[in-house]
Amino acid sequence: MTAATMPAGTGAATGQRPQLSVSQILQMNLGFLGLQFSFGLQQANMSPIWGYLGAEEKNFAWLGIAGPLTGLIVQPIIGSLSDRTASPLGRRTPYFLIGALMCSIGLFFMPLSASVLMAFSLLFLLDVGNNVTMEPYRAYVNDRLESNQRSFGFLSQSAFTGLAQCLAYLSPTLLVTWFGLSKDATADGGIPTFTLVSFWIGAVLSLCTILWSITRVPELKLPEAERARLAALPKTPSATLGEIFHAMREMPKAMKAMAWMSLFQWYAMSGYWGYVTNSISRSVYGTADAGTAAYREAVLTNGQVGAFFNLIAFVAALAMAPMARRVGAGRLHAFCLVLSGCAMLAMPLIGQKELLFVAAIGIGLGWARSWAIPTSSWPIRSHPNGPGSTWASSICSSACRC
Amino acid sequence: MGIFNMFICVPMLIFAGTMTFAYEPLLGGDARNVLRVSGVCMLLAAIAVWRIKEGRGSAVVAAG
Repeated sequence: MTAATMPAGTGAATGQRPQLSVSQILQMNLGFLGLQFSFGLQQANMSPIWGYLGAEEKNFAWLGIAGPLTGLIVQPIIGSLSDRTASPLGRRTPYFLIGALMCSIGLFFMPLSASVLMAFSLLFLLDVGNNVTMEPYRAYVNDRLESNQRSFGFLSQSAFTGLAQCLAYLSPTLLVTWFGLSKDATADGGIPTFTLVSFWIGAVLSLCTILWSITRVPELKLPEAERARLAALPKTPSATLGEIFHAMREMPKAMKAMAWMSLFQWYAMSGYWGYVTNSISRSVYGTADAGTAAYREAVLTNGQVGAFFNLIAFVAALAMAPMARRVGAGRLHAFCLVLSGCAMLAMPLIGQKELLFVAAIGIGLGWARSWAIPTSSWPIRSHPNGPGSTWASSICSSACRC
Repeated sequence: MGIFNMFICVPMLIFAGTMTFAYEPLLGGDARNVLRVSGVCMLLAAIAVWRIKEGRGSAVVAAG
């Protein structure tokens, strides 16, 4: 990594960042909870939303293109721009605020969508917002924390990720069972009320958690020398792109070997997210018609299954870090992917709701490993990250930056 | 930076670009078959990991 792409905090010999208490580190990363809640909502609900609005099933695949597209284009550009930003509000704060606001607006209007086109457009707004916040938030751990506290900083982001995704998947069920929302009430566009309220909770969380984080644990002021260095860096898009291409050329050869694994793994996850609800609705509830009560039941079931596999993934990611050192990261990784594959093959055959949770264990173990690098010779840092994945941030931003 | 991000986004884009066309003619318009395809892909991913792991150096040539 070149000096230019290093997060400034590490590049400058600024050194002394104050030690933060556990509570302060949690508070500085609380915004991550809101952000990941938004990812979880998308993962759990976008396919059914296309269905409610009348899209054909075959189109679910490309309607979800906003995630990977914005992840590919927006995320690296924002990451690079944010490394060079020195605004009166700070270096990362402007991105947190703008991203959270976009997310919030997207989440608020999404369930009010009256057409596929409207939902498709809002998904772009939502995903751009997510990406504007995500990459700077990862980098912020290095900016704000002294090196001895960074592991805990990343760990707290991972923990908030796991918690937020579980809650996002589970919120429709919680709304129905605890708060007495009707399973069959729908908004004008046919989107169930339990989905609508979940998104509105997400809209409030997304903005409030970020505001809490930036006011309770404000960014450190950049030292003068660092500010001058940033001001001198070119901010043009071409410079940013140049930097990205440079990083690509410098990509270690070993990483190229991972390309095949990634291709299959993420193709598989895309298929899972895009079609699992409709698979469950067919195999357990005998319908593919998004307008029926049975389909809404399938959506709730998928929420419970998703919450469970995210929980498994989070616990497994923590448990497997030491295990990877003992049995070899590659072997462990392959094992988890095999389990995940078997679970995906089994799910369409399962006609009983309870058995889906057994399959979810396999999905969760595979998902836990999606964020680790399968070779012990590379820095391993496991992030059971959002769908994020993609969209969500790269492992690289933590693995390479630390 | 951005490399791992590409490793994730590009396969997802390939999914977005292929599944729509495969869904009805090849998968019979049944979402359960998409999960079967995903399951096979996960197994292929596991095989790919095996190749990385087996000779670090040579795997680069093999997969690259």
